[in-house]
Amino acid sequence: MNNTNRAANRTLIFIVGLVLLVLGAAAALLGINADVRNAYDGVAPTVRQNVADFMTDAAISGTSVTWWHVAALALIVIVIVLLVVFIFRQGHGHTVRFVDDNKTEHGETIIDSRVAEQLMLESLDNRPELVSARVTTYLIKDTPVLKVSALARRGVSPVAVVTLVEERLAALDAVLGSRVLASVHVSGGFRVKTASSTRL
Amino acid sequence: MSQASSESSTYRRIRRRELHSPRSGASIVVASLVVLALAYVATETVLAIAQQSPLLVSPTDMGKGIAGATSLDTGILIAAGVVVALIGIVLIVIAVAPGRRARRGIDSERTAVVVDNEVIASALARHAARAGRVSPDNVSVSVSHRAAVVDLTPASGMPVDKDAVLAAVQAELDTLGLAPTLTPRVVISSRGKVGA
Repeated sequence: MNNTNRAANRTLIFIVGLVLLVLGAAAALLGINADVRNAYDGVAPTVRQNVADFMTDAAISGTSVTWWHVAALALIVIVIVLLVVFIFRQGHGHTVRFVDDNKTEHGETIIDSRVAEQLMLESLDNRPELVSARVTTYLIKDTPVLKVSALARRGVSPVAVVTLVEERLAALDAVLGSRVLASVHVSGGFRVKTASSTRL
Repeated sequence: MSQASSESSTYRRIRRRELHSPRSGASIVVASLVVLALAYVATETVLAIAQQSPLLVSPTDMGKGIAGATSLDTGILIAAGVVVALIGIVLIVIAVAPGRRARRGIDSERTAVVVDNEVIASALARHAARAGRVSPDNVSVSVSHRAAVVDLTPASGMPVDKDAVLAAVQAELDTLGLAPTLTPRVVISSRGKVGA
Protein backbone atom coordinates (compact mmCIF):
# COMPACT_ATOMS: atom_id res chain seq x y z
CA MET A 1 0.00 0.00 0.00
CA ASN A 2 2.19 2.81 -1.31
CA ASN A 3 1.56 5.72 -3.61
CA THR A 4 2.82 4.16 -6.83
CA ASN A 5 0.93 5.68 -9.75
CA ARG A 6 -0.64 2.51 -11.06
CA ALA A 7 -2.49 4.19 -13.91
CA ALA A 8 0.84 5.56 -15.19
CA ASN A 9 2.39 2.09 -14.96
CA ARG A 10 -0.36 0.55 -17.01
CA THR A 11 -0.42 3.42 -19.49
CA LEU A 12 3.32 3.10 -20.19
CA ILE A 13 3.08 -0.66 -20.67
CA PHE A 14 0.04 -0.21 -22.91
CA ILE A 15 1.64 2.42 -25.12
CA VAL A 16 4.87 0.47 -25.59
CA GLY A 17 2.84 -2.68 -26.26
CA LEU A 18 0.72 -0.89 -28.85
CA VAL A 19 3.79 0.52 -30.62
CA LEU A 20 5.41 -2.93 -30.75
CA LEU A 21 2.17 -4.49 -31.98
CA VAL A 22 1.78 -1.94 -34.78
CA LEU A 23 5.46 -2.16 -35.84
CA GLY A 24 5.43 -5.96 -35.72
CA ALA A 25 2.17 -6.22 -37.64
CA ALA A 26 3.47 -3.77 -40.26
CA ALA A 27 6.70 -5.76 -40.71
CA ALA A 28 4.81 -9.02 -40.98
CA LEU A 29 2.42 -7.47 -43.50
CA LEU A 30 5.40 -6.31 -45.59
CA GLY A 31 6.58 -9.89 -45.67
CA ILE A 32 3.20 -11.47 -46.39
CA ASN A 33 1.55 -9.17 -48.91
CA ALA A 34 3.25 -8.32 -52.24
CA ASP A 35 0.93 -5.33 -52.86
CA VAL A 36 1.87 -3.78 -49.52
CA ARG A 37 5.52 -4.42 -50.31
CA ASN A 38 5.29 -2.68 -53.67
CA ALA A 39 3.42 0.27 -52.21
CA TYR A 40 6.04 0.58 -49.44
CA ASP A 41 8.88 0.46 -51.97
CA GLY A 42 7.15 3.24 -53.90
CA VAL A 43 6.75 5.54 -50.91
CA ALA A 44 9.48 4.84 -48.32
CA PRO A 45 12.59 5.99 -50.26
CA THR A 46 10.89 9.27 -51.20
CA VAL A 47 9.89 9.90 -47.60
CA ARG A 48 13.41 9.13 -46.44
CA GLN A 49 14.90 11.45 -49.06
CA ASN A 50 12.51 14.24 -48.04
CA VAL A 51 13.41 13.85 -44.39
CA ALA A 52 17.12 13.86 -45.25
CA ASP A 53 16.74 17.02 -47.37
CA PHE A 54 14.67 18.63 -44.67
CA MET A 55 17.43 17.95 -42.15
CA THR A 56 20.31 19.20 -44.31
CA ASP A 57 18.33 22.44 -44.83
CA ALA A 58 18.79 23.13 -41.14
CA ALA A 59 22.52 22.51 -41.18
CA ILE A 60 24.60 24.53 -38.77
CA SER A 61 26.81 26.60 -41.03
CA GLY A 62 30.31 25.33 -41.53
CA THR A 63 29.56 21.83 -40.18
CA SER A 64 27.71 18.76 -41.32
CA VAL A 65 25.69 18.83 -38.07
CA THR A 66 22.05 19.87 -38.39
CA TRP A 67 19.76 21.46 -35.87
CA TRP A 68 17.58 18.39 -36.18
CA HIS A 69 20.37 16.23 -34.80
CA VAL A 70 20.55 18.51 -31.80
CA ALA A 71 16.76 18.63 -31.41
CA ALA A 72 16.48 14.84 -31.66
CA LEU A 73 19.23 14.46 -29.09
CA ALA A 74 17.54 16.90 -26.71
CA LEU A 75 14.22 15.10 -27.11
CA ILE A 76 15.82 11.72 -26.41
CA VAL A 77 17.56 13.07 -23.30
CA ILE A 78 14.28 14.54 -22.01
CA VAL A 79 12.42 11.27 -22.54
CA ILE A 80 15.22 9.32 -20.84
CA VAL A 81 15.14 11.65 -17.83
CA LEU A 82 11.34 11.33 -17.60
CA LEU A 83 11.55 7.53 -17.73
CA VAL A 84 14.26 7.41 -15.07
CA VAL A 85 12.15 9.65 -12.83
CA PHE A 86 9.22 7.34 -13.55
CA ILE A 87 11.26 4.30 -12.47
CA PHE A 88 12.32 5.91 -9.21
CA ARG A 89 8.81 7.18 -8.46
CA GLN A 90 7.68 3.56 -7.79
CA GLY A 91 6.78 2.81 -4.20
CA HIS A 92 7.19 5.49 -1.53
CA GLY A 93 4.39 6.87 0.60
CA HIS A 94 5.83 6.18 4.05
CA THR A 95 5.38 8.81 6.71
CA VAL A 96 7.41 9.48 9.85
CA ARG A 97 4.77 11.64 11.60
CA PHE A 98 1.75 9.96 13.06
CA VAL A 99 0.11 12.83 14.89
CA ASP A 100 1.12 16.28 13.80
CA ASP A 101 -1.92 18.52 14.15
CA ASN A 102 -2.59 18.33 17.86
CA LYS A 103 -2.15 22.00 18.70
CA THR A 104 -3.72 23.43 21.84
CA GLU A 105 -3.23 26.67 23.73
CA HIS A 106 -0.65 24.89 25.89
CA GLY A 107 1.51 23.64 23.05
CA GLU A 108 1.76 21.04 20.37
CA THR A 109 1.97 17.25 20.46
CA ILE A 110 3.86 15.42 17.73
CA ILE A 111 3.93 11.64 17.67
CA ASP A 112 6.31 9.82 15.37
CA SER A 113 5.11 6.85 13.39
CA ARG A 114 7.80 4.75 15.04
CA VAL A 115 5.96 5.06 18.35
CA ALA A 116 2.76 3.60 16.98
CA GLU A 117 4.65 0.97 15.00
CA GLN A 118 6.72 -0.16 17.98
CA LEU A 119 3.71 -0.26 20.31
CA MET A 120 1.79 -2.39 17.84
CA LEU A 121 4.74 -4.67 17.16
CA GLU A 122 5.43 -5.12 20.84
CA SER A 123 1.84 -6.13 21.50
CA LEU A 124 1.93 -8.76 18.74
CA ASP A 125 5.24 -10.22 19.89
CA ASN A 126 5.25 -13.80 21.15
CA ARG A 127 1.67 -14.51 20.15
CA PRO A 128 1.16 -18.19 19.36
CA GLU A 129 -0.97 -17.37 16.28
CA LEU A 130 1.83 -15.48 14.54
CA VAL A 131 5.24 -16.44 13.28
CA SER A 132 6.19 -12.81 12.89
CA ALA A 133 4.72 -9.39 12.21
CA ARG A 134 5.83 -6.18 10.54
CA VAL A 135 4.33 -2.75 11.02
CA THR A 136 4.83 0.26 8.73
CA THR A 137 3.01 3.55 8.27
CA TYR A 138 1.72 4.94 4.99
CA LEU A 139 0.10 8.24 4.24
CA ILE A 140 -3.17 7.61 2.42
CA LYS A 141 -5.42 10.52 1.47
CA ASP A 142 -3.42 12.66 3.94
CA THR A 143 -4.16 10.29 6.80
CA PRO A 144 -1.48 8.09 8.37
CA VAL A 145 -2.51 4.44 8.19
CA LEU A 146 -0.73 1.65 10.04
CA LYS A 147 -0.05 -1.36 7.87
CA VAL A 148 0.22 -4.54 9.92
CA SER A 149 1.65 -7.49 7.98
CA ALA A 150 1.22 -10.67 9.96
CA LEU A 151 2.70 -14.05 9.07
CA ALA A 152 0.17 -16.53 10.44
CA ARG A 153 1.14 -19.95 11.72
CA ARG A 154 -0.15 -22.95 9.80
CA GLY A 155 -3.85 -23.67 10.29
CA VAL A 156 -4.61 -20.49 12.22
CA SER A 157 -7.92 -18.92 11.24
CA PRO A 158 -7.35 -15.50 9.69
CA VAL A 159 -10.29 -14.23 11.70
CA ALA A 160 -8.37 -15.01 14.90
CA VAL A 161 -5.46 -12.92 13.63
CA VAL A 162 -7.71 -10.04 12.64
CA THR A 163 -9.51 -10.10 15.98
CA LEU A 164 -6.16 -10.05 17.78
CA VAL A 165 -4.91 -7.07 15.77
CA GLU A 166 -8.15 -5.13 16.19
CA GLU A 167 -8.08 -5.72 19.95
CA ARG A 168 -4.54 -4.29 20.08
CA LEU A 169 -5.62 -1.44 17.87
CA ALA A 170 -8.29 -0.43 20.37
CA ALA A 171 -5.58 -0.31 23.04
CA LEU A 172 -3.42 1.80 20.75
CA ASP A 173 -6.34 4.20 20.23
CA ALA A 174 -6.47 4.69 23.97
CA VAL A 175 -2.72 5.27 24.27
CA LEU A 176 -2.45 7.74 21.39
CA GLY A 177 -5.72 9.46 22.15
CA SER A 178 -7.15 9.28 18.65
CA ARG A 179 -8.70 6.71 16.36
CA VAL A 180 -5.93 4.90 14.52
CA LEU A 181 -6.56 3.72 10.95
CA ALA A 182 -5.00 0.41 10.05
CA SER A 183 -4.84 -2.18 7.33
CA VAL A 184 -4.09 -5.82 8.08
CA HIS A 185 -2.43 -8.22 5.68
CA VAL A 186 -2.41 -11.84 6.81
CA SER A 187 0.03 -14.01 4.90
CA GLY A 188 1.29 -17.57 5.12
CA GLY A 189 4.22 -19.05 3.32
CA PHE A 190 7.28 -21.19 3.34
CA ARG A 191 8.49 -20.24 6.81
CA VAL A 192 5.10 -21.17 8.23
CA LYS A 193 5.54 -24.79 7.23
CA THR A 194 9.05 -25.07 8.60
CA ALA A 195 8.11 -23.51 11.92
CA SER A 196 8.24 -26.31 14.46
CA SER A 197 4.99 -27.75 15.72
CA THR A 198 4.56 -29.07 19.21
CA ARG A 199 4.52 -32.85 19.46
CA LEU A 200 3.01 -34.65 22.40
CA MET B 1 -20.57 10.74 10.04
CA SER B 2 -18.43 12.29 7.34
CA GLN B 3 -15.36 11.07 9.18
CA ALA B 4 -16.73 7.52 9.11
CA SER B 5 -17.45 7.71 5.38
CA SER B 6 -13.98 9.07 4.58
CA GLU B 7 -12.58 6.25 6.69
CA SER B 8 -14.50 3.61 4.77
CA SER B 9 -13.47 5.12 1.45
CA THR B 10 -9.84 5.02 2.60
CA TYR B 11 -10.30 1.37 3.53
CA ARG B 12 -11.91 0.60 0.18
CA ARG B 13 -8.95 2.18 -1.57
CA ILE B 14 -6.45 0.19 0.51
CA ARG B 15 -8.28 -3.05 -0.10
CA ARG B 16 -8.54 -2.45 -3.84
CA ARG B 17 -4.84 -1.66 -4.07
CA GLU B 18 -3.83 -4.64 -1.94
CA LEU B 19 -5.86 -7.06 -4.06
CA HIS B 20 -4.41 -6.02 -7.43
CA SER B 21 -0.87 -5.96 -8.73
CA PRO B 22 0.64 -2.46 -9.13
CA ARG B 23 2.44 -3.63 -12.32
CA SER B 24 5.60 -2.00 -10.99
CA GLY B 25 7.90 -4.82 -12.09
CA ALA B 26 6.64 -4.91 -15.66
CA SER B 27 6.64 -1.13 -16.03
CA ILE B 28 10.18 -0.82 -14.62
CA VAL B 29 11.43 -3.46 -17.07
CA VAL B 30 9.65 -1.78 -20.00
CA ALA B 31 10.88 1.69 -19.02
CA SER B 32 14.47 0.42 -18.60
CA LEU B 33 14.44 -1.23 -22.04
CA VAL B 34 13.08 1.93 -23.65
CA VAL B 35 15.80 3.95 -21.88
CA LEU B 36 18.48 1.56 -23.17
CA ALA B 37 17.14 1.77 -26.74
CA LEU B 38 16.96 5.57 -26.62
CA ALA B 39 20.42 5.82 -25.08
CA TYR B 40 21.78 3.73 -27.96
CA VAL B 41 20.16 5.99 -30.58
CA ALA B 42 21.46 9.05 -28.71
CA THR B 43 24.99 7.60 -28.69
CA GLU B 44 24.89 6.99 -32.44
CA THR B 45 23.59 10.52 -32.99
CA VAL B 46 26.41 12.01 -30.92
CA LEU B 47 28.96 9.92 -32.84
CA ALA B 48 27.45 11.12 -36.12
CA ILE B 49 27.61 14.74 -34.95
CA ALA B 50 31.26 14.28 -33.94
CA GLN B 51 31.88 12.55 -37.25
CA GLN B 52 33.19 9.43 -35.58
CA SER B 53 32.58 5.94 -36.91
CA PRO B 54 29.33 4.44 -35.57
CA LEU B 55 29.17 1.68 -32.96
CA LEU B 56 26.88 -0.41 -35.18
CA VAL B 57 24.87 1.77 -37.59
CA SER B 58 24.84 5.51 -38.11
CA PRO B 59 21.45 7.32 -37.91
CA THR B 60 21.55 7.86 -41.69
CA ASP B 61 22.00 4.13 -42.30
CA MET B 62 19.16 3.42 -39.83
CA GLY B 63 16.86 5.52 -42.01
CA LYS B 64 18.07 3.77 -45.17
CA GLY B 65 17.60 0.39 -43.54
CA ILE B 66 14.01 1.15 -42.55
CA ALA B 67 13.19 2.54 -45.99
CA GLY B 68 14.71 -0.52 -47.63
CA ALA B 69 13.12 -3.04 -45.27
CA THR B 70 11.56 -4.89 -48.20
CA SER B 71 14.97 -5.97 -49.47
CA LEU B 72 15.09 -8.35 -46.50
CA ASP B 73 14.03 -11.96 -46.93
CA THR B 74 10.23 -12.14 -46.51
CA GLY B 75 10.59 -15.07 -44.10
CA ILE B 76 12.77 -12.98 -41.78
CA LEU B 77 10.39 -10.01 -42.04
CA ILE B 78 7.38 -12.16 -41.16
CA ALA B 79 9.16 -13.97 -38.31
CA ALA B 80 10.54 -10.77 -36.77
CA GLY B 81 7.20 -8.98 -37.22
CA VAL B 82 5.25 -11.78 -35.57
CA VAL B 83 7.65 -11.97 -32.61
CA VAL B 84 7.53 -8.20 -32.06
CA ALA B 85 3.72 -8.15 -32.43
CA LEU B 86 3.39 -11.01 -29.91
CA ILE B 87 5.53 -9.13 -27.38
CA GLY B 88 3.26 -6.13 -27.98
CA ILE B 89 0.14 -8.22 -27.36
CA VAL B 90 1.60 -9.62 -24.13
CA LEU B 91 2.34 -6.08 -22.91
CA ILE B 92 -1.18 -4.90 -23.79
CA VAL B 93 -2.67 -7.85 -21.89
CA ILE B 94 -0.47 -7.03 -18.88
CA ALA B 95 -1.62 -3.41 -19.06
CA VAL B 96 -5.32 -4.22 -19.32
CA ALA B 97 -5.76 -7.41 -17.24
CA PRO B 98 -6.90 -6.88 -13.63
CA GLY B 99 -3.75 -8.49 -12.21
CA ARG B 100 -5.48 -10.07 -9.29
CA ARG B 101 -3.28 -11.27 -6.48
CA ALA B 102 -3.92 -14.56 -4.70
CA ARG B 103 -5.59 -12.75 -1.80
CA ARG B 104 -9.04 -11.69 -0.77
CA GLY B 105 -10.70 -9.25 1.57
CA ILE B 106 -12.41 -10.10 4.83
CA ASP B 107 -15.31 -8.04 6.12
CA SER B 108 -14.30 -5.75 8.93
CA GLU B 109 -15.52 -2.40 10.18
CA ARG B 110 -12.43 -1.44 12.09
CA THR B 111 -9.64 -2.19 9.63
CA ALA B 112 -9.01 -2.96 5.96
CA VAL B 113 -8.22 -6.67 5.90
CA VAL B 114 -6.68 -8.72 3.12
CA VAL B 115 -5.74 -12.37 3.55
CA ASP B 116 -3.57 -14.55 1.32
CA ASN B 117 -5.48 -17.47 -0.18
CA GLU B 118 -2.77 -19.68 1.28
CA VAL B 119 -3.78 -18.76 4.82
CA ILE B 120 -7.43 -19.49 4.12
CA ALA B 121 -6.48 -22.85 2.58
CA SER B 122 -4.41 -23.69 5.62
CA ALA B 123 -7.27 -22.84 8.01
CA LEU B 124 -9.73 -24.86 5.95
CA ALA B 125 -7.32 -27.81 5.88
CA ARG B 126 -7.13 -27.85 9.65
CA HIS B 127 -10.92 -27.98 10.02
CA ALA B 128 -11.30 -30.56 7.24
CA ALA B 129 -8.67 -32.77 8.85
CA ARG B 130 -10.42 -32.62 12.19
CA ALA B 131 -13.86 -33.36 10.69
CA GLY B 132 -12.48 -36.18 8.55
CA ARG B 133 -10.36 -37.55 11.41
CA VAL B 134 -7.16 -37.69 9.39
CA SER B 135 -3.78 -36.12 9.97
CA PRO B 136 -3.47 -32.53 8.68
CA ASP B 137 -0.65 -33.74 6.43
CA ASN B 138 -3.13 -35.80 4.40
CA VAL B 139 -5.36 -32.90 3.54
CA SER B 140 -4.48 -30.44 0.82
CA VAL B 141 -6.62 -27.45 0.01
CA SER B 142 -6.31 -25.20 -2.99
CA VAL B 143 -8.09 -21.86 -2.98
CA SER B 144 -8.71 -20.07 -6.26
CA HIS B 145 -10.73 -16.94 -6.95
CA ARG B 146 -14.12 -18.63 -6.55
CA ALA B 147 -13.59 -22.18 -5.29
CA ALA B 148 -11.89 -24.02 -2.45
CA VAL B 149 -11.06 -27.63 -3.33
CA VAL B 150 -10.32 -29.94 -0.39
CA ASP B 151 -8.39 -33.11 -1.28
CA LEU B 152 -8.43 -35.62 1.53
CA THR B 153 -6.61 -38.94 1.70
CA PRO B 154 -8.27 -41.23 4.28
CA ALA B 155 -6.45 -43.67 6.51
CA SER B 156 -6.82 -47.24 5.19
CA GLY B 157 -9.97 -48.92 6.49
CA MET B 158 -11.33 -45.73 8.04
CA PRO B 159 -14.12 -44.35 5.88
CA VAL B 160 -14.41 -40.57 5.86
CA ASP B 161 -17.74 -38.81 6.16
CA LYS B 162 -17.65 -36.48 3.17
CA ASP B 163 -20.70 -34.50 4.31
CA ALA B 164 -19.19 -33.88 7.72
CA VAL B 165 -16.00 -32.56 6.09
CA LEU B 166 -18.00 -30.35 3.74
CA ALA B 167 -20.08 -29.02 6.64
CA ALA B 168 -16.96 -28.23 8.66
CA VAL B 169 -15.35 -26.43 5.73
CA GLN B 170 -18.56 -24.49 5.04
CA ALA B 171 -18.87 -23.52 8.71
CA GLU B 172 -15.31 -22.18 8.72
CA LEU B 173 -15.95 -20.26 5.49
CA ASP B 174 -19.05 -18.71 7.06
CA THR B 175 -17.05 -17.37 10.00
CA LEU B 176 -14.50 -15.80 7.63
CA GLY B 177 -16.99 -13.52 5.85
CA LEU B 178 -14.98 -13.48 2.63
CA ALA B 179 -15.59 -11.18 -0.30
CA PRO B 180 -15.87 -12.70 -2.88
CA THR B 181 -17.20 -15.87 -1.24
CA LEU B 182 -15.73 -19.30 -1.86
CA THR B 183 -17.60 -22.41 -2.96
CA PRO B 184 -16.17 -25.47 -1.22
CA ARG B 185 -15.71 -28.84 -2.92
CA VAL B 186 -14.49 -31.98 -1.15
CA VAL B 187 -12.67 -34.77 -2.96
CA ILE B 188 -12.00 -37.94 -0.95
CA SER B 189 -9.23 -40.00 -2.46
CA SER B 190 -10.42 -43.52 -3.39
CA ARG B 191 -7.19 -45.09 -2.12
CA GLY B 192 -6.39 -44.82 1.53
CA LYS B 193 -3.00 -44.59 3.10
CA VAL B 194 -1.73 -46.72 5.98
CA GLY B 195 -1.37 -44.77 9.17
CA ALA B 196 -2.86 -41.60 7.78
